Amino acid sequence: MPGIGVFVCWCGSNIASTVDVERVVEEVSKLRDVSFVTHYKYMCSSPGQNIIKEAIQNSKLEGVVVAACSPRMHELTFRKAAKEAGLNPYLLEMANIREQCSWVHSDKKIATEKAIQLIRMSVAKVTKNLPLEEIKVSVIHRALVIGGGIAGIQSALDLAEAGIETLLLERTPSIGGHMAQLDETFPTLDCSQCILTPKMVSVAQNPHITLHTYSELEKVDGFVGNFRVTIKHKARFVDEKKCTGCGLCQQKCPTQIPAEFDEGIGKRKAIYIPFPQAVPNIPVIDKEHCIWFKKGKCRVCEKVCPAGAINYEQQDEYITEEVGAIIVATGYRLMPKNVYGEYGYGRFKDVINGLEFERMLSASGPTSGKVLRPSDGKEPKVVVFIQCAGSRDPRKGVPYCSRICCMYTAKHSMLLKHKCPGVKAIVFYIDIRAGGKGYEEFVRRAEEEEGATFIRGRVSRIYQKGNKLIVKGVDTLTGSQLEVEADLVVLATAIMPQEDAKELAQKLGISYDEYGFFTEAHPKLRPVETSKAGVFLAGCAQAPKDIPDVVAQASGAASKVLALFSNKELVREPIIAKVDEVNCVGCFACEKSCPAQAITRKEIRDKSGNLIKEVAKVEPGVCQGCGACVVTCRGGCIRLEGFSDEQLFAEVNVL
Amino acid sequence: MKFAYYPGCSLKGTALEYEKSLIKVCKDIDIELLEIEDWNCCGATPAHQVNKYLAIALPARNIIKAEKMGLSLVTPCAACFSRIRFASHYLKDNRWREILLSVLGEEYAGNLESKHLLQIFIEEQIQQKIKEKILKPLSGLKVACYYGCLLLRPPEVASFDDPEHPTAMETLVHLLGGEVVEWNFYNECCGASFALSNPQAMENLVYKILLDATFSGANCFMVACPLCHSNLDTRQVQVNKHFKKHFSLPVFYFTQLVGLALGYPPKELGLYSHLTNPMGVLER
Amino acid sequence: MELLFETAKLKFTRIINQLAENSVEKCYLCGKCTAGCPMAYEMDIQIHQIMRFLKLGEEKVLLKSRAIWQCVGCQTCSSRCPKEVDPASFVDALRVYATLTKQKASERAVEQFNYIFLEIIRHLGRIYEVGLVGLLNIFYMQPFRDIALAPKMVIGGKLNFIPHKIKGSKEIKRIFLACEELAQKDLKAKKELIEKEFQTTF
Repeated sequence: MPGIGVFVCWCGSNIASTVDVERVVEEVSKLRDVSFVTHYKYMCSSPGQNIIKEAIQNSKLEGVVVAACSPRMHELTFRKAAKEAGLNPYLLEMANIREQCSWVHSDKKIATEKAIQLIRMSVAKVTKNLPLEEIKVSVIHRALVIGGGIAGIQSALDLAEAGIETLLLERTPSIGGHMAQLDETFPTLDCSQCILTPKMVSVAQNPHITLHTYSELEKVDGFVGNFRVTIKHKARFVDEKKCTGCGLCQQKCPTQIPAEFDEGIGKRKAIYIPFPQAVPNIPVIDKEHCIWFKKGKCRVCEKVCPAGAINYEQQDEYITEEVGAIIVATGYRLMPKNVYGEYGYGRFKDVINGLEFERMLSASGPTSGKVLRPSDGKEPKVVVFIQCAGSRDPRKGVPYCSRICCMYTAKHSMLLKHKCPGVKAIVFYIDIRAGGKGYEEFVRRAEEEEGATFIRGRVSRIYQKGNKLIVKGVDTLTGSQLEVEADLVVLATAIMPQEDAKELAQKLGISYDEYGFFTEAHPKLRPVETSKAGVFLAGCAQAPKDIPDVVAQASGAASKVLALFSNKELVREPIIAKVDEVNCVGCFACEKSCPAQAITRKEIRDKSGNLIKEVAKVEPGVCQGCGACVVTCRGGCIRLEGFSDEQLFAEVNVL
Repeated sequence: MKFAYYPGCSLKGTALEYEKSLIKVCKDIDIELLEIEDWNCCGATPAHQVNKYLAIALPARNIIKAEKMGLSLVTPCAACFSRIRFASHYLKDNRWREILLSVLGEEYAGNLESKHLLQIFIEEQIQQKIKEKILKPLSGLKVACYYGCLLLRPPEVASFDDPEHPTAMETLVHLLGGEVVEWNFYNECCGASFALSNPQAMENLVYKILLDATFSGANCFMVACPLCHSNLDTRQVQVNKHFKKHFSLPVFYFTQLVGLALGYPPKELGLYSHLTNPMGVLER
Repeated sequence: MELLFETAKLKFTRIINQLAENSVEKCYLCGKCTAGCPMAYEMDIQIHQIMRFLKLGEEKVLLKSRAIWQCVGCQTCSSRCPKEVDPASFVDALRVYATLTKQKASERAVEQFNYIFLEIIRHLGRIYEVGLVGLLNIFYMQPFRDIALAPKMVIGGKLNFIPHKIKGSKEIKRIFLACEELAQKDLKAKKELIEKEFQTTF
């Protein structure tokens, strides 16, 4: 007869105040399969664990039930203890007599009866438990970072410093992201490109980082430690090996188009690099606007290129790589223009957003650092900044706060003052959110030292009168409507995830929220992991945040990857599905129902090598143990190790 | 196209030229209007400020009549349009339908579609019909399209055009060969019933509208609401007096402008009933 | 102004919430409503301040104000409010409450206008414009107001001197009576419910 040991915990007074532990012990000792019962105040403590270990060894226990708190708390603790005492850790079950009993009932008699029943069920289950071995999965020590902004750059550099081969994927022609577009950053007013470009150059020069720019993620297969990613290298139409970065092609190209990097304020050519410090410094031909591709004429760039690097025949290339972990750092976009008809954004030329203003402020930008009205190129005298244009608006925009706008608007008002000393900056705000180091002081400086006027109230409407913009706002603190005649209006539009964030999330198999921000594994305690093992998050792709927080999160994600790679093998719990190959008929309904894509096909052949049938096979490293396939299988050929039908029926039958 | 026609009280009185012009024009472009029998006032502004049940019951009596006719309801008055749509909106809820049953003694199935006449005029097929019949395009007219409030707001109830940047009237003006003026006060309030209960405020609001329209180069207005027409048309003299200005901007109902383009003489469209003389502008 | 915060005052907030079928708690006082209000220049309390007083339950301040009678109902605030608080419906609710509890308005012109308008409809079923203007002028004690407009309007055929009574005018009278009763009953029921709720929670 198998000997099961039962250990009942008091958990101080958490269990004992509602459950009569001694009576439980008395009743349980009468059970047929139980050969040892005891109780202790805190089973999870060292002495408590020792009691279990000694009992296993001395009484030669064949199975253990610990009646205590939820398995989510201490199952791991007790299983480790069992292992150390020489018992297979999967021959141990926990009966939850705390969260499911003492914490939810107040009647002692009923609670005690229930605790006894719960333990009886666990004992019945354990008699059917089979010993399981942990699964070891090999880990490829290479990482993929998706997104070449400051988040991606930081992660890549951290990983490379630890000697990990890293692929950095960026879909625009150069890395740098939005940070490269900024003029100066708060609260130090450091020149953004000056602090960013050294990092960009490090990325380019680091032997461990392979840069894939103008490339996108096409497909992801596999599982943690063993991802197979397909990368689409979009055709640059410029031979990367031959190009010297001399820039002649860009000088001679006749086509001019609004530049994406300058948010439409400046222009670029059809063959272009996005900005002078671009990494890599290799141009790209924009097929949509190039005269050769549209009309079959020109080819000037080819004629003037001294290195003969232009190649109109280049095709998109697809590359497959194997990596062990993925960091998603795809960043953000700003809310589009047409959302607020009342502000005339998109209709009035002089209503712009934060990034457009940054490009104007930037000394290397389209206006050479001068703040000019887009309509007539004159310098403005009065600039109105409108906060929360899109954020905190459940009706037309997004309900959340975009976190960085109060700070960057205060910065804008100060930079405006520095560039155009005679200009008046007026900021319409609802609340000022300045919760970082030196942030509150920074905002106060805008009003106290740099002369910005802060007005508490939202703006209802903007209209054009002659060449001025009339801003109809309110000062809620004096309780009056307030009208301002402005020359330029800057809207602090909402921070949103990239437009195709949801498609990317589906490719990767990670979850996202209703706006498209990728979901972290736990909002408080696991900010850089996702629900899928091996995929990590960094930067604004997860939620709006400022540069210090982005860099911190990027390093955090890199450290998680390094922890993953610290072993040659990955150990995973064996609570997975297993297919009975003899009875499986190969209908593969399970394959369709598996959310983790863990089911593959296996060929069963006879001794001569002829194919008998194809059966389903569960990949031990990928399976999450959810049991969907178990339920789907029409023949009942799949069992979930640790939760087999025998175990569960035993539990139910004993009630 | 056949509709249950709900004129609204003012169309039979101070806005009779609106009805005059719309009856003529609708006949020409195959819009058949069957006036709802024994319709009652929708309650307009006072009802919803005094008693919510009344504000729903009064329009509802007409809604039920239209439903019985088996036709969609169309009204030329923006306020009536707003009240009827509010009532329909509330009556989508079972609770309100039950209350209505107890008050009116009649059941409402909840399916009535109600539209403003302007919405019908800009539908593809009607636009086509108008285009076919244009005899005198409105060249020389610089039209400030004035929407007012209730045609566009609240957007969930009106469901008619973009409340911040509407284009319905502009489409019509272009169709008729007139010139559209870019201006700012196209959806700012005219003061509505304050014309009687708070005339100073109304004058202020009308003044701002007249000022912006003149500043933008308009020489006339297009409206789709009898109260907006009344405030902009009949009150120009007192606004001129109060603010020492010389505004003279005639105010046309959109049906009148369509009528003119279709070749009707001004008299038949009731243009002589206006207080601000439209003839000067029309001579050009 | 000195205000005393009393939890009991919040009963008023609850009633108005229910009359407006909305929640004033959603309002975060951004002021966009006031920013676009065409009547803001004249109001003694701005519309966002009306929402503030409502949140504090200041019944007296609100019902004594002129502002709640100065709203022109243009719906600009309601169409732009980012939290869908619909301030226009709250102003309506305050007027309805004032009427139901027979509290006189401090700005009587609009109240009188409403009263005369609805009385005419109650009797005739449709509005009798000449009668409306005539009666109003008497109430306002300005019998010759707008008289300058009369001749042109008569020539234009715009003035119907004979009132039109619809066939269903009895039905209209009945509707008015039923609605009045319902409104009073409803208010009473709401008040009782809120009273009970406040007794148990506070």
